[in-house]
Amino acid sequence: MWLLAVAWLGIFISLMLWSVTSGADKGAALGIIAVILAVTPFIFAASLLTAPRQERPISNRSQAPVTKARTVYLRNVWVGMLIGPLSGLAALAMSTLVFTGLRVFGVDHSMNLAVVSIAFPSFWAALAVFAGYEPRLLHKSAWVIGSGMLSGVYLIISSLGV
Amino acid sequence: MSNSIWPKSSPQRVAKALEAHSIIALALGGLIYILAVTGTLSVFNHEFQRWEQPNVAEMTSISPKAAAAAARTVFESEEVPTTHLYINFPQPDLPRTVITTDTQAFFAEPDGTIGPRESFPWTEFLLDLHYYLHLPQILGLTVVGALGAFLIAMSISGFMAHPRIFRDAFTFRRGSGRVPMTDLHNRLSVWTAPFHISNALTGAVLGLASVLAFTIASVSFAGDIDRVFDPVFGAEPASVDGNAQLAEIAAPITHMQQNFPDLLPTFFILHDPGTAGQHSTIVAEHSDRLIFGEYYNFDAAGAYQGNVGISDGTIGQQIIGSVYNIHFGNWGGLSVKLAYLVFGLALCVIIASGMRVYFIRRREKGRAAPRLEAGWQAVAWGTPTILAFILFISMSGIVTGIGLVILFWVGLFVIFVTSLSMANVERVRRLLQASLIFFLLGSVCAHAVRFPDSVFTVATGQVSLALTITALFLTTLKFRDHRNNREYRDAPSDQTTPPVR
Repeated sequence: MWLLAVAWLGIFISLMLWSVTSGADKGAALGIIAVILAVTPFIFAASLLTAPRQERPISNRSQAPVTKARTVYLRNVWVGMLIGPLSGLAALAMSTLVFTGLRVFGVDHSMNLAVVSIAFPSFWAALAVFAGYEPRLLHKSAWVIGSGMLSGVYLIISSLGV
Repeated sequence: MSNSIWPKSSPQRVAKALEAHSIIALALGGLIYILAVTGTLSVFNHEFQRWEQPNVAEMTSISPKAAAAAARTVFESEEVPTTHLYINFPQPDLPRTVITTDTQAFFAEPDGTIGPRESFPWTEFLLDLHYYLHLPQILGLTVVGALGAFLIAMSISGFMAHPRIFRDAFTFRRGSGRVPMTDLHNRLSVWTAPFHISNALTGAVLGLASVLAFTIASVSFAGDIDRVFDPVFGAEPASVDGNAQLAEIAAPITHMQQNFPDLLPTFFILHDPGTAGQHSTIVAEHSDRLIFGEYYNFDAAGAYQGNVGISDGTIGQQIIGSVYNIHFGNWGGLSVKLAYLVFGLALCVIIASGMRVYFIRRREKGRAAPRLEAGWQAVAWGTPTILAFILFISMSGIVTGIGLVILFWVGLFVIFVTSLSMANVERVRRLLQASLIFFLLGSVCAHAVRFPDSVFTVATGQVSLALTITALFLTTLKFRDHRNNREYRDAPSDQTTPPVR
């Protein structure tokens, strides 16, 4: 445990030193690259040196083709819609709402744009993960669609000046 | 039982996170893999450009007078007036001067005369594939940006499925079975996370910018998209009707050399050339920063008007100005590019090993999917193979432009369908690996035949050598696999299936 703590502390200190010596943004980036580069070859080497894998005999469990009910396919299609376009639209509406909100609070335009540019894909990713993670279909549908709808409705109302 | 400092993982949470991880990977893993391969190669697009067109004048710098003369010549050759006239200055990794308009691009000689037309069909094909997946521009950018968001989603779900990530970061279990493949996937994912998360995020930011700007403009700026980007990148003055003498070109370049000697000018842009409202901009790199550059503006007479603020403006401007370079790895010279090559390859291995783990797990559960697995091999090895094939075809000069695009997608489809019908993972992989080696070496040979005078120049040698080394490395891997298979066959054991890597 102590060895692990020392290893992580060493990495943290190394990044700080890179940042101090080679510029705040570029130095930190170079430090991260150096740390990754130091580790990656060991992982590749360990992988290449690993003995060839022997396949396990195929299980004797049922290999009969799984027949799925039409409702299962429809459910999968709906989950795909939730993870893809619906999460994307919800994330877009939420990001635009964040932009509008920060603008009201007087945040600098460029900073505002930087924040929502990062927020949009992050929201999309988070909603997509939630839509894949949550087993209850109604629950995840409500969260994904609801978050988009609420943001969208607010944006429409505010843009109409109501 | 000893107390552990590491958090207890809930099996249900891990299972649900793995479910989310698998759904996204199975649905979109192929496209994300294509972007990973093309992105890794795109880091070296300047080197590929030089390799594709080696017989061009190279220079470390060009005089302002010569650059202006070349730009003027190209401008005067335009049949339809261009809206922008560009000078691409020589860079360390692309030591050439290129004059570009809306419709054409020519190399400039050091004395200011015009050289051959710019032509790098394979690199152009590669960049279009990575930027747009060969779809119409805005749609393509958005799809690619969305795939970036899904790569972030896979990282999030992967981390959620791996609660003891910091403890396991220093372990790699050797042995046989699914374990080492899983460890390869997990360790590489963790250690290269700063790269692939930042790369996915910056890719998504670049790709989704148009859609986001459109929505923000619709809600907040009455549909005027310029008002979204102008505070960051500077507003372009309104065009003014009426013709004028071509604006001063040499003076702004001279101004930069005299007043900003530490900066590296990358582009000169003349907006609305030959009109009453023409004005110019020089984009210059700041070597100690992550930003792609700063805009230095000049009026038509060449008088300096100030900079936009990417380098010294608001924090927001500086963050947005850093997105492009962080994504493409062109902020630290060859060493950073090589690091991006390693990380890009690691991302390809992460995706491929993740899919392998999925198929092994299916086999272990008695739900083997040999056709689907062979189909995945078609994507994993077929993508680099068909890229090498396109390179070979492009080098032979038989097909260019849209023909390369059609060849790529039809070729990949044919490989995929054939692999599905073969349903033999090992055979598909062996065939594709052999083809990849053949086309890599074939491209080097075709290049040497087409450009015999350039075989030993820097512009050609570095790429030809890299392609040859890659082919030799793959050949070594093939021999290693072949030897392992032969040893297995010769060994009197009770094993029932051949070794697989």
